[in-house]
Amino acid sequence: MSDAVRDSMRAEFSDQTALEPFVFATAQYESGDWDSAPMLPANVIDSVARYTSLPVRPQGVSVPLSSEAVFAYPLLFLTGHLPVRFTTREADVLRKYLVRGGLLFVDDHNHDVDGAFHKTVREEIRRVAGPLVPLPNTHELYCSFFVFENGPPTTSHEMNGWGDNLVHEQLDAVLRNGRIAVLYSSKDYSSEWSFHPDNKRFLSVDNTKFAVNLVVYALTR
Amino acid sequence: MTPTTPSRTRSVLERLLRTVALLGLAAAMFLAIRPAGPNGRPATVLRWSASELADSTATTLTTAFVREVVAAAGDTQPRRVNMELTAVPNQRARGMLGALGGAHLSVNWIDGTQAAGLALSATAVAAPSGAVDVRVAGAHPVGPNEASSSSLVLRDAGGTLDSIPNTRRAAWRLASVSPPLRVLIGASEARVPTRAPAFTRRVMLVAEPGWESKFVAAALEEAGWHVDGSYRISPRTAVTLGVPGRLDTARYAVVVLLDSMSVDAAAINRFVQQGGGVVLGGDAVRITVLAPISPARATTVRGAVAGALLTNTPQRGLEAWELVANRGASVVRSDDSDHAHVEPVLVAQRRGPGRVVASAYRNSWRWRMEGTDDGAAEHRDWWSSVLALAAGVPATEGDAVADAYPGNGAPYADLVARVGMPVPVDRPAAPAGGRALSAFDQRLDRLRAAPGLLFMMIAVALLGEWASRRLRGNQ
Amino acid sequence: MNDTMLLSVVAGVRRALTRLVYARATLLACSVALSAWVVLDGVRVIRGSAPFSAGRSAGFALGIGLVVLLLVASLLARRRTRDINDVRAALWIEERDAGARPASFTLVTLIEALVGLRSSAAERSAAERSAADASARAIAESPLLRASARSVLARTDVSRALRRSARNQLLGPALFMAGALTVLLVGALVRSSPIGIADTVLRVVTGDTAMATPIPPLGAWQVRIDAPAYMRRAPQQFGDVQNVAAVSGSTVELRGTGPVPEQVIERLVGDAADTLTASRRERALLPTVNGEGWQVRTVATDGPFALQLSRGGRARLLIVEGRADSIPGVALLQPARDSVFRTPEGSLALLASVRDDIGLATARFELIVSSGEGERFTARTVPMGARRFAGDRVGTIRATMDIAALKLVAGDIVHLRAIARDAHPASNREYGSSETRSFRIARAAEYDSVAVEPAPPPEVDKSLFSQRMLLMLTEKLEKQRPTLERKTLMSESVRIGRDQARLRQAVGDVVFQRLSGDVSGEHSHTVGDGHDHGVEQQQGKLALSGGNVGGVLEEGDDSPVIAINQPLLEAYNAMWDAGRELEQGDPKAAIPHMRLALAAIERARSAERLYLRGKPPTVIVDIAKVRLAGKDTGATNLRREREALPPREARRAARLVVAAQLVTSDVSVARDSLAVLRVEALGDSPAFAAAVGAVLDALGRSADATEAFVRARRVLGGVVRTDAGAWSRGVPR
Repeated sequence: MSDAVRDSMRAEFSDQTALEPFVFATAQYESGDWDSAPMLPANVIDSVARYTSLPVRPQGVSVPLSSEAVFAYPLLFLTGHLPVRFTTREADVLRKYLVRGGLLFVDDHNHDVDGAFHKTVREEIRRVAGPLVPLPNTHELYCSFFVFENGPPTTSHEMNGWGDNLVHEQLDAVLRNGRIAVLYSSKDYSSEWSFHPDNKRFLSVDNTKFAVNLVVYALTR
Repeated sequence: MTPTTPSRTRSVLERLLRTVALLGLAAAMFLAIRPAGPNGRPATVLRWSASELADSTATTLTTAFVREVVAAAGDTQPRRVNMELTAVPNQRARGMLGALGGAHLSVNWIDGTQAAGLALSATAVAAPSGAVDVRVAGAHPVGPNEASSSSLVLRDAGGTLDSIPNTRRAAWRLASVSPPLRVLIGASEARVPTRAPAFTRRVMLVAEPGWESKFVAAALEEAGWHVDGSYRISPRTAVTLGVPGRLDTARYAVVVLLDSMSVDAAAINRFVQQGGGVVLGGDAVRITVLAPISPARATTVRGAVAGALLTNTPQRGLEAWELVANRGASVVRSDDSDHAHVEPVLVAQRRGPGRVVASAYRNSWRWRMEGTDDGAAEHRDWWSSVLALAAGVPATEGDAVADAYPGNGAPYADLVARVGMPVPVDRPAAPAGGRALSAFDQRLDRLRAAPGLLFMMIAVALLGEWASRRLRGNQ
Repeated sequence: MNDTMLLSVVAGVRRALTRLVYARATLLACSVALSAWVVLDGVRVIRGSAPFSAGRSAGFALGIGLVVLLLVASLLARRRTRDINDVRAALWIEERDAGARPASFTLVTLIEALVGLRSSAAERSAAERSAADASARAIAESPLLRASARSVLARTDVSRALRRSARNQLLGPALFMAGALTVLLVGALVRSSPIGIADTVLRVVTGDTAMATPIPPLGAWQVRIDAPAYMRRAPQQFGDVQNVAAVSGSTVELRGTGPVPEQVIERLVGDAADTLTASRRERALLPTVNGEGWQVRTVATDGPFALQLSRGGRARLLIVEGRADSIPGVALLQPARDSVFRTPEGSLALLASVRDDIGLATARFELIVSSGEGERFTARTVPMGARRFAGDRVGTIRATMDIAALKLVAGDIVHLRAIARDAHPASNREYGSSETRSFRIARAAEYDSVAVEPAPPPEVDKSLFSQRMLLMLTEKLEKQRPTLERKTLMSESVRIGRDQARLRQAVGDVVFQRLSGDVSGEHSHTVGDGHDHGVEQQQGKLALSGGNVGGVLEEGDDSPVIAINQPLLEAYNAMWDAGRELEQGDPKAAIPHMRLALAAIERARSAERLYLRGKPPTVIVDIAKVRLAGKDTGATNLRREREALPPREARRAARLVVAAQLVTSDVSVARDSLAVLRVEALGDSPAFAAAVGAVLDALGRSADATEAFVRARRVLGGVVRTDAGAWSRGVPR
C-alpha cells in the first residue's frame, strides 16, 4: 500500500470518526421577526470555541419551526420583537421537539414585560409546553461551566433602564423530568450578544459567557 | 447328671445335625457373596394414569408409587422394574425414578408419553426494567401421534402471553412475568420459576460531550441505570456524571464507549477479564487500543437512508459503521441493505468471563429526536437491550440447579437424564443377560427369597444337637 | 316410728346427699368439657382456621375428654361422699329443723347410738362391746331422746329440704353447662347460615365494641352529578355504578342507606398523583346523615379520583373520571393564506368556524397591528366581528376587514386570528384561537422584489392533489383485484405507474429547481460531475449529500430556503418505490409507498411558508483562531442524574394479573382494582383503558372474562419476539 493511499485512508477515517460539531440553530417562525438578532449566533459560537474544546460549527443555521428539521438541533434559539403566534404546525412541531428532549431558549428582544412579544410568546409557550415558572438562581445552569452565583447575568439594556425599566432577577423555565425544556429570558440577551465577535476585544469583561453555560448545559444535561 | 457314652446312632445324629448347621452356614455365606443372577420371573409392566404422573399436586403418588415399584421389582437380584409412561412424570416422580437407580433398582421404561422435547429457559434481562428473556428450544414433537401443526403457547400465571406455530427455536422478551412461566405444545409442558436477580445498575460512560453522549446517558438513566462518567469540556474543565470510580465489576456492570478517544485500555481489559461488559458504540469501534477485545472490525461508514427514521426500520436512518465480525463472534443483529446482503450492526463476543458488544450506529440520538413519536422509547429500549447483551446477570438462588438436572424447564430431558433412554416398545421386559436360568439357580433364588428358612434350618439343627448332648448329661 | 324406720329415713337422706354430690360433679365435668370446646372453637374461628367442631375427630376428642373429666369428677366426688354417713345425714336433717333454735342434736345423738349398736356387734371385741353397748343402749332407749328425735323428723320436711339442696347445688353447674351448650349450638347454627350472619354473630361473640352493633357493609348507592351552573345542564342520576364521568367543577353526590360510612377518602389516581405526597394525594370527606341514609359530596376536578368508602369492615370505590372543559376549537377559513399588499386599501372577507364541547359564549376576530422597525415597535389590538352564542356547540363568525380603516402604513404587519370563548366563568380561562394569518404592507423599496398579489398556491399543492388521486386509484384497483384478470390488472397498474413516474419527475424538478435553478437536474446529474446540487442519485433514488442532511438554510449560503427538500426527497424516493411496484403489477405493495409519499408532500407543504424577513448577514467564526483564546476558565461541575421513568406497562401488567387472580376469590375487590387501573390508563393509554373496560363489562355481566383479560394484557405489549440466535441474550426485533 502506497504512502499516499495510506495517508488518504487515514485522513478519511480521521474525518469519519470526527465528533459531530455543535450547531447553533435559530428558530424561524411565521409571525414576527425571528431574525432580529442576526449577530447573536456568531457570538455564541465564538464564545463556545473561545472557552471550551467542544467541536462547534463556525456558522449557525436557521430552521423553520414548522419543519421537522428542528429535531436535528436539540438547542434552539428564538427571539423577536413582534407578536408571536405559532401556527398549528409550528405548535405541533415544537411540542414534539420538547417532548423528545429539545431545549428552546426564548429571549424577549424588547426587554419589555408589557411588550407584544413577551405577552404573546409566553401565551404560546403555555399553550405548547405548559406554564413558565421562575428558575431558581441556584440552578445548575448557572454553574454548568462558568459560575454565576447571582443567577443570570444582567444586561446593559436592563442597567440602562430600557424596555420595561426592570432588572429581572431570574429567568423562567418549563421543566421536564428535571431538565429545562423551555428557558425564557426577559433580559434581552438578543441585544446584549448581537455584535460582531471580533469586537469582543474591546470588552473588558466578556458578556457572552452565559451563552457558554447554556450550550454546555444543553449538551451535557 | 453323669454323662453317658452316646450310642452310635445318637452320635451319628449329633454329627449329622452339626454338619447340617455348618452346611447351612456355608450356604448362607455362598448366597451372600454370590453375584445376583438375572430375574427369571415373567416381566410385568407398570402403568400409571397420566394424571397421577403429571399432576404435581398428587399427594398419593409418593407411597403408592414406591410401593408398587418395589413390589414389582421383587426381592430377587438384580432388581429391575419395567414401566410404560403415558405422560412425563412430575418432578417429584422423576426424582424418585432417578433415586431408584441409587437403590440398585434399574428402570426400563417405554415411552408412551408422546411428549415434545421441550426446553424452556427464562433469564432476567440485565436491565433495571425487570424484563425477562425467554427461550424455547427443541420444540418438536417426538411422539408419533403428536400433531406437527400444533402451536407453541407461552403462558404465565396471568394467562396466555403469546402463541406461535410450532418451531424448533423461539425467543421472547417479556416486560413482566407472573411466575410460573410455562410453555406448552399440545399436552407437553415445561415450566420455570422466574426471579429477578440483584445486580449492579451502574454503568461507566466514556464519551465526549455532545448530543450522542447526552441522549445515550438520558436513555440509560430513564431506563433505570445509574451513569457515571466525565465529559471533558475544556482542558481544565469537566462535567462529572454520578460518582466515577475505579472500573470494577463490584461497582459497574458495563462500560459504554461512544467516541473514538484515548482510553485506559488496560483498565478496560482488566474489567472484561473480571467478567464485566463493554459496549463499543459508534465511533468507539475504531478505538485502536481496544481492537484486541473488540468483537468486530469497522471498515467504513454506511450513509443514513433519508426518511428511514420515520419508517418501521428507523435504524436505517442512522449512519453506521460497516462491521466485519471476528472469528468466534456472534452477529446478534443485522440490517437488510440495498446491496442484497445483510449488514451486521450488533456483534458480540465473549472475552474470558466478560462480554464485549459492538454497536455500529453512529449518532443514535437522531433516532430519539428525529424519529417518530415512539423514537424516544425505541432509542431507550435499544440502548437497554445493547447493555443487556453485555452485562452479566448473577445467578439467583432458584437458578442454581441443586442436582444438576434440567428440572421442569425441560421435563422430558430431565426424565431421560435421571432414568435413561426409553427402551423400544418390543423389548421392555427382556432380561439383561438373555440366558435361561438353570434349575439350580432357580432354587438358589428361591432360597435367597426366603433367608429365614436357612436360618431356621441352622437354628433347629444346632438346637437338636445341643438338646441331645444335654439329655445324655454332657455339657 | 321405730328405730328401723328412723334409720331408713336417715339412710334415704344420706343416699340422696351422695347422689347430689355425684350429680354436681357430673354436671361440672360436662360443663368444663363443653366450655373447653367453646374456647377452642372460638380461638380457631378468630384465627381464621376451621372451627374445631367442624373437624372429623372432634366428636371423638370430646368423648375422650368427657370420659376423662367424668372419671376425675367421680373420683373427687367419691372422696367427698366418704364423709357422708348416717350421722352426717342426721346432722343435715337437724340443721334443716326449722323449729329448733338452737339445734338440739337429739336426732344425731340417737342415730349415732343406733349406728354404734349396729356396728359394735361386728367390729369390737367382747370386752369393749359390753361397755360400749351398755352406754349406747342407754342413750338409744332414752325416751326423751327418742321423742325429741322423732319431733325433729316430724318438724322437718325432708323431701323439700332435699329439693332445695339439689336446686342450690345443681343449678349453677347446670346453667354453666347449658350456657356452653347454647353457644355451641348457636355457633353450629350460624355456621350453617349465610356468612353475613356468621360474621355478625362472631363480632358479638368476640366482644369487639366496634362490632357490638352489627354494621352492614355498604350496599347499593346512588350517584348524582350536578354540572356547573354555566353548563345549564340538568342533574344526572345514576344507580349503583362503579365509575362516573364528570366535567371539572361538577358536584358529585353519593347517597346510600344504612349507617353513615366510617371513612370516606378522596384519592387522586394516576401517574401524576404518584408524585404527590400522601397529604396532597388524598383527603378525608365527611359524610352526613340524610333521612334514613347518608350522603357525601365532592367536586370533580380535571383528573380522575377515587372515593373510597368504608363501613362494616368492607370498602367500596367510586371512580370519578373528572375531565376538563375543553377550550373551543377555532378554524380560520378565510383568508386562506398570508399576503403582502402594495397599498393599505381594499377589504378582506373573514370567515371562521368555532366549536366547543359544552357551549360557546363569544367569538371574534383579533388583529394585532405591528408598526415600526429596528428597536422601535408598537403594537395595537383591534377586535372585529364579535358574536355571542347562547351555548351553541358549533357556529361561524364573519366579518369584513376594511384595510383602509386600520390606517396602516408601509411596513406595517397585521396578524389576524379568530378567538372563541366558552361560558366557563373562571377569570383566567383559556380561550381557543385559530392559526394566525399575516398581512404586510409593502415598502416602496420592495415593489420590484415582492409579489403584491396574494401568493399563488405552492407548486407542491399540485403534487399533493395528484398523489392523493393516484393513491385513491391504486386503492380502488387493489379492491377490484380479485375480480380482474391478470392482464387487465397489469395494464391498469402500469398506467398508474406511469402517472406516478410523471409526478415523481415533477417533484424531482421542484427539488432541483430549488437547489440550482436547473429543472432537469434529475436527468442531467451524475455523481462526481462537479455539479453538486446537494443531492446525489443512488440507484434511482435521491439522497442529500455531504453535510446538508438537515435541509436547512445556512447563514451566508446563497442557496434558497431548502427546508422542504428533505420531505420532497422522501416523497421522491417513495414515489420511485411505488412506481416500481406498480410497473410490476403489484398495487398492494405500492400503496404503503404512495401513502408515505403523500405524507411527505404534506410535510413539505407545511414547511412551504412565506417568511417575511430576509436572510441574516453572513458571519463565519474562525474557530481555529479563537479556540481556547479566552482568558477565563470554567469550573468543573456535577451533572444531576435524571430520574428513571417508571416502568408503567410492566406495573400495569402485574396489577392486571393480580386482579385476574382476585376474580375467583373476591370479585368486588377485583372490579375495584380494575376500575382504578382503567381510569389511570385513560390519559396515556386509551387502548388499554378500553380493554380493561371490556374486562369490567364481562365481570359486570358475570360472563367469562378470560378472553378480555388476555386481550387487555396484549394491549400492554409487554411480549416482544426476539431472535433466538447463538448469543445468550436477545434483542427485540
